[in-house]
Amino acid sequence: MKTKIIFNILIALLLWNGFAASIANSCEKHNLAVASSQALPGDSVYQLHSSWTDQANATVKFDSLAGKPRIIAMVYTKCKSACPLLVHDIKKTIAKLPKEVSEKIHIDLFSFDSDEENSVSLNEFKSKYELSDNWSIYYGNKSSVSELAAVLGVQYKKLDGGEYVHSNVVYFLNESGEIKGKQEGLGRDNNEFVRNIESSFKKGN
Amino acid sequence: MKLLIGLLLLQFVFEVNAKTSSEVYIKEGTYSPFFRDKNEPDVKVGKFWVDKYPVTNQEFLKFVRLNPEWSRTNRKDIFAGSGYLKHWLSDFVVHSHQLKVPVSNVSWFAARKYCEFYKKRLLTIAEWEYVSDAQNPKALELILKWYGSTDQKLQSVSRGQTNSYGLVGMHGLIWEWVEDFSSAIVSGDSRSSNEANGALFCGSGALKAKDPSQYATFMRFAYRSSLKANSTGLNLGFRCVKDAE
Repeated sequence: MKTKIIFNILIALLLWNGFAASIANSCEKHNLAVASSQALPGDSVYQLHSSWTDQANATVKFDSLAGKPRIIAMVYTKCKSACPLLVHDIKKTIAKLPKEVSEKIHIDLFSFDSDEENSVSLNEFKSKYELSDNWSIYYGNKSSVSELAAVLGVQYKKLDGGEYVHSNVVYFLNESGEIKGKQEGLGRDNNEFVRNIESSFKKGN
Repeated sequence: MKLLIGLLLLQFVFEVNAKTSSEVYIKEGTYSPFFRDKNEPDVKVGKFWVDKYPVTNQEFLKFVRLNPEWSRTNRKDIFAGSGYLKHWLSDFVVHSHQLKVPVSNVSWFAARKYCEFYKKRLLTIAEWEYVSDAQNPKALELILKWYGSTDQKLQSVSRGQTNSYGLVGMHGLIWEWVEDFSSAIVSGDSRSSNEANGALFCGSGALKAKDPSQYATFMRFAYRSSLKANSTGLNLGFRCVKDAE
């Protein structure tokens, strides 16, 4: 009985999302999950199902980040030159946004370093750069890193001594994981990036 | 009749043979990168088993049948562009004359999933360059001839040349995806020249070619750096590798 109620709620949720009743009715629970992932637009990054670990040592499925507008970027915590600047740039962008927009955005940083990152290094980075609660930082295995970088179009390469060469790009993702804004390079004019974020919000995200 | 049986037997023997020798063992070696970033060392490669031939349309068709989420109809933009498998007749139909031709019009994600499905992986740039024997003068001659040719019709894998490691078609048939294609940072992203090194890259240094005469290698690196993970190309396929115990 209980399962039936849950099942019905799931169906109701799907219908609410604009799903055809015929599909929902003929689906079993397992298929429902598949169906809802298909509801994502074809260019949504949340079609990646990679696994990550955050600063609180919790496992986070990448696709579970759907449903909230996000600013994301790839960094690594040992990085001394570019990454701190990148964080600074994100802060500047956030500061330029109207409060009702910025308070809805979560910032997510993903580490290139699949070998040496852990929750301690993530937390150190977070406190060193005074990142508030709406910032998260994650590390993952080699394959998760290369898939995410590939989807975003971020180039990187590990060098001897554990440093990484990488492109510095900050992305704005809407709730369904479409890239709606992009800021390349460091310390550049961010007016267009800010505008893109705002207009994405005006369109109902 | 006897002839027919003989032929059948012959085919059987041939197929068994082909199956058992479909991978080539590569023992440990050292690859000296052609383009180096600051502090970039020589790379140890091997030991592993590399596919002797690039993956064919026939083999890829089998994979798509078993993994219909990789059919043309179920294509996702983010994983494969609109050219994905566009030379196939439909989701599960390939021209018979294309069966033994290397599969092309596949994205990095598709190639990667294929290898993963068979408990293998794509080769890294270092591994690919090493086993392609590109620095062998003999290979270089073939490569330059191929790069300069305008005939783009894909040939059956059996028409490929066998290199000194016993691998077929590393040059002359198709270009191949590699796992870390996006780490081939040549000039592609240094668009804004002097600013780019500081602004776009962390820990960057000057890229230096070891031997400027090897322009063929430069072309491969330039080509790779022009790709996106969902890119597909008429002449872009792949092969897989499996680490040896």
